[in-house]
Amino acid sequence: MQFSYDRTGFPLIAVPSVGVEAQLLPATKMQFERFLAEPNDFGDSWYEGVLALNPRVSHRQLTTNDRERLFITGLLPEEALAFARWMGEGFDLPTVEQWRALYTALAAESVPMRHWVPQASISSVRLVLDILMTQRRAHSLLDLSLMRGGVVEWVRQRNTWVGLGAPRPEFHANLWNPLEDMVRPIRVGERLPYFGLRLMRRGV
Amino acid sequence: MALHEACGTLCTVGSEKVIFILDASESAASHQTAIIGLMRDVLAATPMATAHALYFLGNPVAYTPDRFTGQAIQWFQENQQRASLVTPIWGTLDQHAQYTFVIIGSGRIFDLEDWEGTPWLERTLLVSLGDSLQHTPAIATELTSPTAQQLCRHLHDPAVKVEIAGPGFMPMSWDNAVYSLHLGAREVALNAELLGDFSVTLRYLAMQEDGVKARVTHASGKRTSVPLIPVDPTGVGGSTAGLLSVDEAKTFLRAVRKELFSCPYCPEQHPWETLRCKAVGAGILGRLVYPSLQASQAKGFVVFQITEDGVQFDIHQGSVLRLDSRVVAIKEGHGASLYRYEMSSKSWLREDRPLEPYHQLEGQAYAILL
Repeated sequence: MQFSYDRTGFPLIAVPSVGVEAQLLPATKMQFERFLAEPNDFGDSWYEGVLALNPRVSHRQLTTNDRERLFITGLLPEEALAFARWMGEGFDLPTVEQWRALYTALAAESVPMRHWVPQASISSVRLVLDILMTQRRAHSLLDLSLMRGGVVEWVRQRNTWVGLGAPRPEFHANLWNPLEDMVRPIRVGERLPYFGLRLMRRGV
Repeated sequence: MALHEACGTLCTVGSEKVIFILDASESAASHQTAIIGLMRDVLAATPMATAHALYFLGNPVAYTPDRFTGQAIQWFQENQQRASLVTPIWGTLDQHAQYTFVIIGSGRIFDLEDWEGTPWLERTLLVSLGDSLQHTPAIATELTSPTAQQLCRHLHDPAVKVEIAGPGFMPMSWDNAVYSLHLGAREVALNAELLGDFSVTLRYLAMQEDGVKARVTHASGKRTSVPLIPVDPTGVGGSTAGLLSVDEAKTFLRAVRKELFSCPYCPEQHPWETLRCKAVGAGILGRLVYPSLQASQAKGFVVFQITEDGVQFDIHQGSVLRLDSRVVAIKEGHGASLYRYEMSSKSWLREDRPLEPYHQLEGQAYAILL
């Protein structure tokens, strides 16, 4: 598998079988804050409201117990799409099929991750990857990707939005199998503290 | 674990260069007039050379402080839709630059905790004109609604003492003579006090190159820690090298065999350990039995090395000479004492034996002290 980096320095992994590059990790608050630092419609009070759902943790103090606080959650799909547009041309939320194809591809990979992690160009990104690899005792890219054991992620299903993922029970109790189950929000427009996102870029 | 030899530099300690970071975000919008007023008054009371740059939270672009008064409203409008984040600014600045940061605003800076324990936050003063800029417990010094005079008093906090130390630290040479070696029971340090210029470049031994830091004490009593910047060892604490003449080389070779040798100045033969001839007319100190060293006005440690070309000499700058991987000789008065680094106690301990004349080093090298 081939890796590259998005504009925030976090890794993207190419999935040729579905013609996309995907963020290896769910989008982090560190990445989202790069977006918030630029002039846009999301101010301090909006972000305070989002953080109230899933408080922020510094990547320097990340522990196993508060791992999910690293990731941006509680966004509505259109807010996630604004982030995708800022990330660059071709970035989008994945479809159900793309997300599951990535999951299957990563599960089949047993890449010796130590070989590429130090190449991450930004020290804070290297630190995050290093901590997660240690915490997760990651043996495969699927372990590291947190597609299981992470957050539920927004995906498209035709004209609607659903969630895929299997958070660990300590974060959000569930019995979901992301290859079979879809998580449907009960109310449209409700911010859900366990809903995050992972961007994909078309055209690989 | 072995001691490593490294070179580093410390510069602009105690610099009063200040970078101001203003909060134009939504959380500070209702305090904009107060922020502009305070900033204007502080700039008026601050030399332009002190106010190095001006930033707005979230924006890595530097603004020019001397244009603030005329441009403030426009600059706030340009930056009002940014969130309260400091990483975009600090992420672009050189960590070794010795700036003081002053952040003026209202409401939490979301990513401040990402910088806890870093030099940036250590050198930061938060100024709140409304809500606190940080969570509790506080991780940075914060003033609440100060006057310009109160803020300026906090900014004028020059360094009054610098102590360079770290695990296994032993300085071997340094280029600022006001620093002095301090051999404490628990650590070795290079100290300087009450100076205008604390900058220094040094060659040193340490367990880890990046473990050596400068502890800076400010006039207010505040203490900060500054890492040394690694530098190219070429030319740092360098030595003056030369080649002994054929006659001098004969003298040297007899001396290391502990044999009498013929003096170049008098008809006598001197014992092997003699370094100066005190015959009539040689002055109080006498003359060095190596005319080449006499001509070079050599003092301190000199290392002779037997090479294919003859006997080379190196006159070492500095009062500490490395003898082997864990032993140094330190010039004390007219003699030199030996210190060994003990791994078990992680400290430098004085040895009972002195530095011998023509102390043999590794290989075909010998050290003397003049």
